[in-house]
Amino acid sequence: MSNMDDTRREEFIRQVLARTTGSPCARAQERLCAYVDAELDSIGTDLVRGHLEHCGGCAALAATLATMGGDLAALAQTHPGEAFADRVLAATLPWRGRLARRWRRFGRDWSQLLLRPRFAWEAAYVGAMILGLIFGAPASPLREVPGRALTLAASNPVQALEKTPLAEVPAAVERWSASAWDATGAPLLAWAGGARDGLAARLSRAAGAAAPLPARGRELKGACVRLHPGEAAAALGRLGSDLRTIWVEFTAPAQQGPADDPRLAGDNHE
Amino acid sequence: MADLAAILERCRRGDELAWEALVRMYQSRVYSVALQYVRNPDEARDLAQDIFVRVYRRLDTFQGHETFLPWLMRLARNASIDHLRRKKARPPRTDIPVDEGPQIPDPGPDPEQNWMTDRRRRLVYQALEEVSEANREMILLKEIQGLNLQEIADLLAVPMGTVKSRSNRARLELARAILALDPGAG
Repeated sequence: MSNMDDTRREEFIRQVLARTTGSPCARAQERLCAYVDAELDSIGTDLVRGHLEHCGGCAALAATLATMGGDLAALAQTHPGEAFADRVLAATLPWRGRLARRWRRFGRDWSQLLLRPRFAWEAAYVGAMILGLIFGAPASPLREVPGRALTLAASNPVQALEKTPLAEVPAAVERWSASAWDATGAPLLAWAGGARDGLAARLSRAAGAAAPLPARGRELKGACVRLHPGEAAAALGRLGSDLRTIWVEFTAPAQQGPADDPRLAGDNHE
Repeated sequence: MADLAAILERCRRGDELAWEALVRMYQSRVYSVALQYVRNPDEARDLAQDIFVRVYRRLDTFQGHETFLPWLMRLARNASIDHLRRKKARPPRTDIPVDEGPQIPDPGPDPEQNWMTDRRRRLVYQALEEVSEANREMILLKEIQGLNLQEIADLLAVPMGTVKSRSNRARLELARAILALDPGAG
C-alpha cells in the first residue's frame, strides 16, 4: 500500500514538474559533471543528490561518469607493441630510416595501385604493349612467330584430319604438333637460350676484366691514407681505365649471338 | 627516469640514446592519440611513427619555456588530421575488423579484477566510437591525455569557458554511449 502511495507521489511530482519547469533530468545532467568532480556548492550538491535518489537513469549516468575517468586515463598507456620503438628509431636515423620509410611508402602505394578497379585494364594495356614490342618490333628476333602461328592455324589441320584414315590419325596429330612447336615455341626457346648464353658470356668477360679492381681500390685507399695526391690521382686514373675495360668487354658483341644459334639456323631454313 | 628537459636538450644535440629514451617514454601516449583518430591499430602504429618522425625533425622549434606534452599533442593532432584528410582523398582499401582492439595495459595482479577492469576499459574504448568526432577529441585531450583546460583552449584556439562546456558535454555523451552499450555499466 505504502509502495503504491510512493509511486503515485513520484508520478504526481513528475507531472507537476513537466507542466511547470520542464524535465528535472535535463537540469540535473547539466550539473552532473560538476557534481562528480565535486565542483558544486553545498546546495547544488544536495539538489543533484536529491534528484539522483529518485531518478535511476541519472544515477546510472552519474555512476558511469565517476568510474570512466580512470578507464580513460588508462587508454593513454595503450602500448603499441614491442617492435614499435625500434621502428621509430630506424625511421628517424639517417639512411636506414629514409630507406625504410621509402620502402614502406612504395609498398603501400603499390598495393593501393593494385587494388584500384582500373588496374586490370591498365595491366592488360601494358601487357598488350609488351607483346607488341616482343613480337611486332622490326628488330625483334621473334617477329616471324605470330605469322607462322597464323599460317599454321589457317592450314586447318582438323579438316585435313577428317580425310586421314583412322589408323594414321595419331601420327598425323603428332606431326602437326611438332610443326606447331617448330613454328612457335621452339624459336622462343632458342631465342631465350641464346640471350641467356650471350648474357652469361658477357658477364664472364666483364668478371675477367674486373679482377684487378680490388687491387686498384687498395692502391687508392693507400694513397689517400698517405695523403699523397699524385698517387691518388694515378690510382684513380687506373681505376677509371679498368672500369672502361669492363664496360667495353660487357658491351662487345658476342662471338656467337642468338642469330647464329644452330637451333635457330635450322628454323630459318623452313 | 632522467629529467625531461635534460633529455630534450640532449635530443636537440643529436644524442641517439636520449632520443630513444624520449620515444620509449612517449610511445604509448602518441600511439593512443593516433588510435583515437584512426581507430585501427596497424594504421595507428604507422601514424604514430610518422608523428615521431615529425617530432624528430621539429625538436629544434620546441622552446624550452613551453610544456612538452601540449607541444607534442599539438604535433600529434595536426599529423592525425593531415592523415585523415589524405585518407578521405584515398579511401581505405580494407574494412576495419570490429573485434580488433588495442593492447590496453594490464591493470593489476588479481585475475578476476583484471578481467573486470579490462572489460570495462574495452567498453569505454568501444563507446568512444559512438561519440561525435569533436567530443571524442575533447575526451582525448582532457580525459585521456590529461591536458588542462588552458592548454586545450590554446591548442584549439577557443575560449576556456567553451572548452569547459564542451568537455562536460563530451563526458555526458560518452557516459550515455557506455550505458547504451551495457545498461548495467552504471
